[in-house]
Amino acid sequence: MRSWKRIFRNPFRGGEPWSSVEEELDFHVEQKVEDLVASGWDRGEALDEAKRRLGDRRHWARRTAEESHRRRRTQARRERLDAVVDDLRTSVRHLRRRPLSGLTAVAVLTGGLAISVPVLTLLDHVLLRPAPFPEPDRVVWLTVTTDEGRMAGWMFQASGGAYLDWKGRQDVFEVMAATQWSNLPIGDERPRRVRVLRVEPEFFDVVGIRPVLGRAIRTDGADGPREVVLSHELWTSRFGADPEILGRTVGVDGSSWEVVGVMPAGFRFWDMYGGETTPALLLSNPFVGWGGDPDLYTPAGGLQPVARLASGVDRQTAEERLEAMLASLAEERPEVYEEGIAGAPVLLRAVPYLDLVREPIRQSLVFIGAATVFLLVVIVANVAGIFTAAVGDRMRELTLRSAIGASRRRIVGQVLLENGLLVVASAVVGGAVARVVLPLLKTRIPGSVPRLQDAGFDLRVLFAVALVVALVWIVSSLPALRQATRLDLRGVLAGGGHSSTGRGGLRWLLGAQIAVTTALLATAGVLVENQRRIAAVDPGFEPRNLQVIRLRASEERYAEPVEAQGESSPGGADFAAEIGAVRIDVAFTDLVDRVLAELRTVPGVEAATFVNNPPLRGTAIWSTGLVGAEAGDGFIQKWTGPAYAEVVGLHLLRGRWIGSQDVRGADPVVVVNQSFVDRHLEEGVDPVGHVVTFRQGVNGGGLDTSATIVGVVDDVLQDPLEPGAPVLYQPLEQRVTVWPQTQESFAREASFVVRADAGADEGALREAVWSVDPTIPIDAHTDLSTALAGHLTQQRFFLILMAGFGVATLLMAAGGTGALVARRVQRARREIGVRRALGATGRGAGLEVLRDVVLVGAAGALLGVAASFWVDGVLAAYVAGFSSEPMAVRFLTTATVLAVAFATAARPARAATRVDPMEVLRTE
Amino acid sequence: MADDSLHLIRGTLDLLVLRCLTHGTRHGYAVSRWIDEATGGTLLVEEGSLYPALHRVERKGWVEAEWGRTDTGRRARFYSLTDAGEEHLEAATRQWREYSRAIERALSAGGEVAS
Repeated sequence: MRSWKRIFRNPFRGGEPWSSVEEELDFHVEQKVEDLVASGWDRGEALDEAKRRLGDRRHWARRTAEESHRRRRTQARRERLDAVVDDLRTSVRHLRRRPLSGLTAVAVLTGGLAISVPVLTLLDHVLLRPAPFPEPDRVVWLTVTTDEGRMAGWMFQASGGAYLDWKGRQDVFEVMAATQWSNLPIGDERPRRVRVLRVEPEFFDVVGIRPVLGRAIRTDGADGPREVVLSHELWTSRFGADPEILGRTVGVDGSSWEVVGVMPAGFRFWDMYGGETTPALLLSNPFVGWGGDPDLYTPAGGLQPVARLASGVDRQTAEERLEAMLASLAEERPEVYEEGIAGAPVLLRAVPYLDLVREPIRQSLVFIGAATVFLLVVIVANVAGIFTAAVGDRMRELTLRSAIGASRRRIVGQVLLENGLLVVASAVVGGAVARVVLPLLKTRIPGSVPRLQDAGFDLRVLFAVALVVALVWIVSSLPALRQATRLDLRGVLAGGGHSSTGRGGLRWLLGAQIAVTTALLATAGVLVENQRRIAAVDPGFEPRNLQVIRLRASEERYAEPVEAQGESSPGGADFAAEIGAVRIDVAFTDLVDRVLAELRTVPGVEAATFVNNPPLRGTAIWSTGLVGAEAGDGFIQKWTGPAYAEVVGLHLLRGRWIGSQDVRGADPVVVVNQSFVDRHLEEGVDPVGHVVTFRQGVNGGGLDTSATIVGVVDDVLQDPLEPGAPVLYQPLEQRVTVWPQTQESFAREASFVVRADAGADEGALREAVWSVDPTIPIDAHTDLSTALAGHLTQQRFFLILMAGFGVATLLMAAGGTGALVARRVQRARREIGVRRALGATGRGAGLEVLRDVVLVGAAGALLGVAASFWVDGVLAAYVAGFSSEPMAVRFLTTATVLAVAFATAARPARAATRVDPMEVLRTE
Repeated sequence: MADDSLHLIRGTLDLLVLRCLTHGTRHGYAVSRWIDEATGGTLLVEEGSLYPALHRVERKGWVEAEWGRTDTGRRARFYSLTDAGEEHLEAATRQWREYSRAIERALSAGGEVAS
């Protein structure tokens, strides 16, 4: 019963305010009674009257106690605030008295934040932000693959027939849509090619995004109106953001399309071959061309299906159910599903959209992220050292304060506040610097990194930074707090006012600091050296003043069906019919000659030549393989003319280049690059004079050609991330003229390379092409020296970043080491003084300090180097082509760390030589 | 009797408490007697209501309180006006006067409205 009463009792009763209120009311009643009695009342009646006049006593007592309680709370708050202000003043006074240690801490923290905050911001935007779709983790991208045979792990697109079959049978997706990417020309005169995504109407439900203007595409299949949704970017740049755009028509690839909507700005979608891309146009009906034909039921085709998982279905369940679906399909169509991919069974993978986007950049981001974390560790280690040293200096004062009654909480608060002031100051300065650094970093990264250019400071980043700063503040204050709460009055009074942490503790701190710094710096050095090697690759040509105009000759004019000409192909009439062969020869070669002639008349152009696939174009077009070789072990096939080697500046290693005699009908010749020789020819065979037989076309539907190698040239950089691609050059006039339909668009690709001074501008070059045929859509114009620099930007960005990390670490280590050694000397003052009084020299004391630094430093450095080897092992597993060979770099960085530590120790060591024995003994 | 008395507005009681303390330090009972006499016994319906008011003005910093002894040696809580209390009293008195004049004018005004 009692305990119940205790629980339900009035919260104010029994406490101090309550008893005091009761006493006050008692006094009131007593005085009233006295007054009434004095005016003639009977005492008993007077008591009743006094109580009546007071009113409901319980009520008023309660109300009074509440007021009183509120007053106390206000007062306590005010006192706490006063204490904080008081502590703040004390802290500022202390910081002003020892500006060097405060400034070092601020400099270390500011430097660290100025580098790590922008990097973390970029990481956050690129890696951690989900795709801009609602519930992005439910969006998957379907790819056909196999895990057996020689094409194990290859990814293929789906054929129209197979896709529609799956769509009708599946039960794991809420909604599913086929997409097909292509480059299509827009405009009828002087057309330009843009990235186009053809979609089914369900696409908008899969991504969960609707047009901001107008509506989504409704046309399903080939029948129905041609509908187009514009990208926000195209709508703005080409149509001036015209609000009346809906209902108008746009000419795409020779036919008109009705504009039904405009997508939101920044909309991007995944392209298997191009990464995340903004489609300039979304068109209705993906079931077009060879790749999308609904009647084509093959394992691989030209559609990229995407889907939204049904709610409650995870990716693994989805793949299991798809597998079961394929198993039942395999009974109906064993030729497709059981041995469809080079004899191996077909698998269907549902790749989460987010994985697709993150995978290509994961490696470099993981690196930078790890380096940042490392950097933060170094910051914390150094700042903790400085903070501990600062508390050490004030042990006497703190102990005395504690002795005259300051609570442990108050002292902890004081230390935290003082450190907090420094941390906040650094965060403000560091944040301001970071705002400047971020845009600089962005300009150093090529624009291909998805979402990067959107990265900026926002609430999320600020919150994360605040969290990091708070973490740094607390963690680096911990050793100082440990020291500050172990105050020992007697010890301090006897020992001159310094902390009880022994010299051993300082040695550990110093050793750890040097170890971490060495590990980070050595790793940074090895990484820099690795990247430098990649960046230093010889491009194999002379990029200066080289410009490339890339186009694809239109199908109607430059490709004719073979049957229509009533002739058989080299592979026989049956074969031609089977592959739906087209002829690409005279008209195309004629176009090339006429365009070259026009380009040579453009002012400023010194020379012009043709190639289908220019340098730096990438290695995606691995078209051809040697007959009898393994699939996938192919090479890049280039068609070109006699002038190419000279215009581009190839280095001829052996034999000769293609000559004017290598025309149609003459003996077939080819020139190969060094990587081709290394990869495809047996060792010891003289490549010049060797005959190679290769197949034009990937999917087996090609034609065999034999040709004699007449020369070997040096490699030309095709893709900086994949150097050493084998290349075979063939005279354009000698290439086969009949193409399978799957390859004909590839055969119509043409690049014109001109060497021109600054006078020849892009517009004039485009006009020269259009003067030959105004309907030719131009894909791109590239300045090769700019492109090469662009390819190297990523490397350069990485170099700058790692070098920045290195310098920041070194600066921090310098600050931290200096503070620790100074602290060590100060603590040893008494000992040094006594020893000097007994006859030791000042020089000896200084040398002893340095010897300590060297010994501890060497131990730390050894540990650091060992750690850096371990880190290299981890990196090697992540980074293709990573080499931990550069030992010299490791040695150099370690020596630098030690030199810096030694240099910063010099000043405090000199202070040790100047300790005056008399003064030390006097203060004892 | 309670029915005849004026109902007190909270602010008015605070005002009277402060006014009373301009004459010097008083304990709660003395304040209640002063109000009783000054208002002819019409205001303090229940004397207990004075005490929340006293503690409220103390919380606001207008008065200070301290335990002390009366002439007869009895322990009591004494209240005195602070500088802030004096300032507040001045302002509040002015406000009250304007307010009561306005009400008075309104109550004695005729029905016609100037056009």
